[in-house]
This record gives sequence, C-alpha cells and structure tokens, in this order.
Amino acid sequence: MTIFHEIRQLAQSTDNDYLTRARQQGHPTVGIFCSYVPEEMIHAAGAVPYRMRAVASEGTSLGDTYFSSANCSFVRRVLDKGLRGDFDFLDGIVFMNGCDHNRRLFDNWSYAGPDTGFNYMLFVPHGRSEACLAQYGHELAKLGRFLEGRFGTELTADRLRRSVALYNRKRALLQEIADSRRAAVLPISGTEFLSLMLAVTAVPVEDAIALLEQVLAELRAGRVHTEKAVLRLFVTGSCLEELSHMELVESAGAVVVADAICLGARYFERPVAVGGDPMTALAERYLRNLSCPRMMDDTAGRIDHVRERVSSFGADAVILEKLEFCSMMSGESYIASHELRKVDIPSITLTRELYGGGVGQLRTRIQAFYEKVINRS
Amino acid sequence: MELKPYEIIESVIAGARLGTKVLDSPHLAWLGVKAAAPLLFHREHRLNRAGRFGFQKIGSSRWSPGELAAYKHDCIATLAFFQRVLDARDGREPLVWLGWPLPIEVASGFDDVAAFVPEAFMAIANMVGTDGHVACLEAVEREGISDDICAMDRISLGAYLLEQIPTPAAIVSVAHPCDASRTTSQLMEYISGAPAYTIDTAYTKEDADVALYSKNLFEAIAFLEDTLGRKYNWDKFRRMVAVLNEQNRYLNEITHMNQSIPSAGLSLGLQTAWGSKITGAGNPELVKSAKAMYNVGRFRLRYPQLRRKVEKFRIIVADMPIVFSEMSMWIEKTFGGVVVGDYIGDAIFPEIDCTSLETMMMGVARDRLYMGMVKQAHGAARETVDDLERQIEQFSADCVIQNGHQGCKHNRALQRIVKDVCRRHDIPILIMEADIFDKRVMSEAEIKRELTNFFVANGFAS
Ligand code: SF4
Ligand code: SF4
Repeated sequence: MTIFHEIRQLAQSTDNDYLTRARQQGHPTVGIFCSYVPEEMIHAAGAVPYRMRAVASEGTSLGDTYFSSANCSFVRRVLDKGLRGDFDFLDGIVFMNGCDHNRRLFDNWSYAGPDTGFNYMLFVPHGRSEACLAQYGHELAKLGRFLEGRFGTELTADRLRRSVALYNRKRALLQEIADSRRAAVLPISGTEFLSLMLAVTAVPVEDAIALLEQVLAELRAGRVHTEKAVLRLFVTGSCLEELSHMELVESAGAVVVADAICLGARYFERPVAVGGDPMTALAERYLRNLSCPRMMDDTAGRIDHVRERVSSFGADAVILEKLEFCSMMSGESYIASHELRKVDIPSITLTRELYGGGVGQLRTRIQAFYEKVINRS
Repeated sequence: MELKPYEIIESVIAGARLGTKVLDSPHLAWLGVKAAAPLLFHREHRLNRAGRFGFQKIGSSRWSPGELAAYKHDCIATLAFFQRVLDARDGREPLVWLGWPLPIEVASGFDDVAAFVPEAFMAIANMVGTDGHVACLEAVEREGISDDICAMDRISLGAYLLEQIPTPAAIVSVAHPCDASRTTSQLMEYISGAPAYTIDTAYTKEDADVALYSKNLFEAIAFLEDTLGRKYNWDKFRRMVAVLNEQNRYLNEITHMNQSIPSAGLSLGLQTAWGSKITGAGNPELVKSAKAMYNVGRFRLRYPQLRRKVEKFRIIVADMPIVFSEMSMWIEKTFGGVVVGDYIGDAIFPEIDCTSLETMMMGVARDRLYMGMVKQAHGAARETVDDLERQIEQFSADCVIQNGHQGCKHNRALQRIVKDVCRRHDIPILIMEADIFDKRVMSEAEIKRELTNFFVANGFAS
C-alpha cells in the first residue's frame, strides 16, 4: 500500500489502528471540535487529541431527533454518529462555541449521552483584542485544571514545551507540503491534501509526523499530480471535510492549490512561540492565528490573507464554501465576494449540505463558474 | 412596498405623538379602541393595514384603561428615542449604533450623542403596514445576503439599505449571544464603514464572566469618547442606574403577579417593557409605565373573580412571541387561554448595587444577561432549559408553545430537550415552524390554524 493509499484510508474511517495502539499504551483519545482547542494541552496531559468528523456518516435520522431542520448538517451528522456508537472509542470531548450549532452540540451530546467519556465546553471569545486574549487565557487555565484532574497529571511547563515542539514539527511539515503547491507543476491535489489533513488529525502526533515525513519524501522525489492545472483555486469557508465534494470542485482540470479552512491552513500556519511561558504562547498562537469567520475583529485580515495567497499561489479564483444554515459564513461570503470583486478576483459561494445531495446542481454551477473564469483570461 | 427615506421612523414618531395625546384620557381612548375593534381586530385588509399592527400592540381592545395609561409613558420614551435619530440625521448630534443585547446606557450616558438600536426596526417596520418588514427583508435578499440569518437582523440591515436609518458615527456591536447578532454586527460594520468596538456578552452569569463583560463596557465607553471626541457623563449614568433599579422592582412584581392564579394577565405589557428597556433603559418614563402596570396588576389580584372569567388555561410560550402580529390577545379572546410567560415576559432582574461605578456597571451587565432573548440565547442550554422548567412550575402552565423561530438556531437545536421537559411535567407542547419576524414563512392565518388544532386536540377548546 502506498503512503497516499494509507492516508486515504485513514481519512475515510472514524477510528484507526494508530489510535488503538495508543490506547493500548495508556493514551486515551480526546475528541476536539475546532482549531481553537490547543492540542498541546491534551497531549501534555497524556491523551491523544482527535479532530471530530462526520466521515462514514450514515445519515442524520438520529441526530434529527435532537436538532431541527434549521440546524447545520455537520452537527446533525456528528451527533448521529455519536448516537450510533461510532465514537465510543473516545474518552472525552472538548467542545467549543464555534457557532450556535456547535454550542448546542455540546448540550445535545451531554443530554443524549453517547458513551464517549467526559464532555467539556471551552468558551472562546470572538475577538483577538487584549481583553479577549486575557479571557481566552483564563478559559485555557480552566481547561488545564480540568485535564489535570481528569487524567491525574500535571501540565508542567516542561511537558507543555515538549508537546509544543512536537506539534510545531507537525505544523512545519504540513506547511512545507502546502507550500509545494505554489509550483506550476502540482505534486499533490486539493483532495489529497484534505485527506492528509483528515488523517493527521486522527492519529497521535508522533505517528502524524512519521506519515508526513513519508509524504514529503515522495514529493521531494518528484511526485507529479497535475502537470498544468486548467484552473488554480483557493478555497475558504466553514466546515469542509468531504473528499467527494473536493473532487467535485477539482473536476474539469481545476485544482485547489491553497486554502484557509480549519482542516487546512488554519490548522498549521504559524508555530507556537518557544522560550517563554508555554500557556501564554499557546493562548497567543491559537487566538491570533489565521482566523476563522467566527472571529469578529479580523474580517479585513482574512480577506487580505486570501488576496495575498491568491497572488502568491497563482490562483485564478476563490471558492467560498458554506454549509446550509451557517450564518457565520453568510456574512463572511457576502463581504469576501464584494471585496474580491474590487480587486478583480472571481469568486463563487457554494452552499451545500454536508455529504448531501444536490450534486448535479452544484456541478452545473461550478462548471459555469469555471467557464466564466477561463473565458475572461 | 416602496419606502420613502425615513418613512418608518417618521410614522413611528407620528404614531407616538398621537398615542401620547390620545392616552392623556385613557378612558376615552379605551372607548375609542373598543369601538374600532370590529374594524381592526379580526383580520388585516386594505383599509386597516397601517393601523392594525399598532392596534394589536396595545392589546387589540383587550387592554384596560389602566394598561393604556401605562402605555402612554412608553409612547413618550419612544418619541424621545426616535426623535433623536432624526436629529442625528439632520446633523445635530452624532449617532451611535448599539447591538440590541447591550446596555444602551453605554451611549445614552453621553449628553450630546443619539443612541440607537437598529434591531428596533423589527418592532417598528410594521408601523407602515405589515408589509414594512417584508420591504426591509426583500432589500436584503436583493443584496444577495443569505436568508439563514435571523429575520430580526435582516430587517435592520434592510432598513439601513432602504435609507430608514442614518449612518452611525460609531458602532458598539456584539459577538454573542447568537450567531445572528454576530453576523449582523459584522455586516453592519462593513456596510456602514463606521468604526466599531465589539463585545462578547458573557457566556455564563458567573462573576468572573460578568466582570469581564463589564470591563468591556467600560472599554466601549472609552472607545466612544475617543471616536466621538466627547465626554461621558457619569452622573447621568448613576441616575440612569437608579431609574433602572426602580423600573426593575416593578417589573419583578408584575412577573410574580402573572404567576398567581388567576394571573394578572400582563404579559403583553411586559413585552412592551422589554422593548422599551432595550431602547430606553434609564428613562424615568419607563418607571411610570411600570408603576401604572403594577397598579393594574394589584387591582386584578384584589378582584380575582374578574380574571377567572377570562382565564381557562395557562400557556408558556417557550420562545419569543410572534412579532409581526399579536397572538396572545387573540388566544385569550378566542379560547380563554392566557399567556402567562414567554421568553421576554419573564422579567426577573437582580437589584443593582450602586456603591461604585464598578458595581453599577457589573449590575447593568448582569441586568442585560437576565433580559429575555439574551437570557435564553447565551452560553449553554441549561440557561434556557432550567428557566423553562422553572417557568412551567412557577407559572403553573397547562401547555407550552414554541413558535420555532427560524433565526434562533440555538433554540431550534433544543427541541428534543424542551419536548422532554414538557413530557416530564406531563403537559402538551406545540412546536411550530414559524418565523416570528417574517410573515412570509408562516402567515398569521396559518399560525392561528395550528394553534386552534393544538388547543382542540388537547382538550383546551372544542
Ligand atoms: S459549518 Fe458553520 S454552522 Fe456548521 S458547525 Fe461549522 S461553523 Fe457551525
Ligand atoms: S431572535 Fe434569536 S437569533 Fe434572532 S437575534 Fe434574537 S436570539 Fe438571536
């Protein structure tokens, strides 16, 4: 099996052998929901952080008994999986108030009680100001005390520093792979990169590093995925994990060359600073990293980032991804599309249900958009 | 419907002026309203379109002269609030927008600044007829903004796009308690281009969280001082807090009166008080309104036999009430069901400690966390669910209605938990799929049909 096959398999399954092995060695698995939950803290407490996902989801029928039809399909699917027992291997979950739907996922999960250990809610402020940073630091300290009590360990500065070093290494490897997509000849597609992200956020960091080193070795050996993309795309938006959707976006010769999604650049950009107090450094990095559309005071920063990446990765157009009922992305996509139009960058907002239908309609919209972009150049 | 610039605010000012005059003689006004009821009450048509909404909001002819007298003071406060917006439009003073969950005192404590809450448009857009809110919503739809954002927020955005609100000199916006408020704040800032300071209302009511919220409010005032080049009047703030405490004492009493059996039947009055507090907290007229309402309640509790005739069963609306029309008075008149509590008509506020500016700001911050809609939307579900559980018990509810407001994703996500609460208390619940601000989602007639079926099916009506 090639490394890319293994990655694809990991990306498509909920649990995996790496996690089983870690559990056998006494490292419990802790689910996390968002790029604002510092994985280093969970790792330093002796557990393995695991990014929650809806892959291999069978539907929403169980989730729909708790959520309504006006709630996002990501949370409905994840809860559905939880109620079917797909996450029974977890020893706890750190939820986060990413949005109203996610916030209520914590409530419904706690109420419905899938057998997944503890449920912890981390409240993350919606801004990056000094006041917000202080509040976030206070919330992280609370989380730290909770993890210490739960796992009977102490989150010492040394332990945290060791975890930071490992996660920084993982970030650096991901960054190098992502940067390889700046070239005209693309060594890896957007779908493959998303698989890689799904895989390395589902295994212990030590194994993730080993997997990434193998991938990088292949790339360095001259792997070619696309000689010349018909269109180079930049993708941003809210929750996006479906490989099938990425494949649809990458149809007709288009390739995603960069992104600003949570299973992408938002995860690995910017290392955690080393040398000082690790908790302060973690708070600073996680709150002030490349921001998510939920953050209020950085809309302009996010759009600048898109503009800069479009130019430095030679992208021809931007895809704004939105799940139905994600108000967060409703505001963001309106502003982004207006701002991008001002600098002559074509963009399209794709609204979908996670693993949902309507593929035919989406395909038609995507193709019409691509034709428009190709014809203008 | 075509709207002329500022048409909505001008209609509200005209209505409030008329109300202030007419309600000088509440008994005469009461007779007039009774006489106009057949024309205005039953259904909306071409002739009554403009007046029916206002008529519904003053009790659809079911209010007593005492309640009408209380309402006069809300009219005076409303008039003052909107007049200053027009003054700001004419350049007499700068205008500051505040997100609805925030204490308006942050801006109204300046002597020479007009404080405005754009979300007020959800309640006033229909003063030009119930297509007023539709006109605002359609303006947002034409702009290409998605309709999954709460209609209340889209109405205020639309009002701005349709030149019903002047551009602000500064914005103090919110990122919590709901995604809709957060996203609308982001859009308002972008579209207006005004400098903004954003606040997360607290996630819990714990002291540490409230202290941080209060610190943010101080920072917001400093931001306004810097941006507007004006000084905040802390004496005025102190006076406003004293007024707020007094108003709250009456509101707390009224809420308790609604809990008694039969109830004082003042939940519509509390809804009015909720709106008036968002736009006018600290205005002494609101104390007069609350006191007059309180006196109505005392009278009703002294003569319970009068209420017993009206009150056949008791309802909790586990949601915001329908805004584009008025259902509680219709239910009362048609079925003898009394809405004893809803998300905004349960006004229990802690006393504010006036020892220092810090304790006062903490108190004001906490006050708004107890205000309907913020109370249920912020933080974790227990804020909503425990409250519903308490309401069902304290108000001795016979059934629960949830309008299913489309905007409140956090509330829609709790439907199973809420159903189970009702099951535990052995009372029926109706969950609709209405949008409380947008009549196009479920019309008044459709809502009435669902309510009727529910009451009949559960033996409350035949
Ligand atoms: S897609 Fe949007 S609404 Fe859904 S969970 Fe993610 S942020 Fe929340
Ligand atoms: S009705 Fe609900 S969604 Fe709309 S502003 Fe109020 S709390 Fe937010």
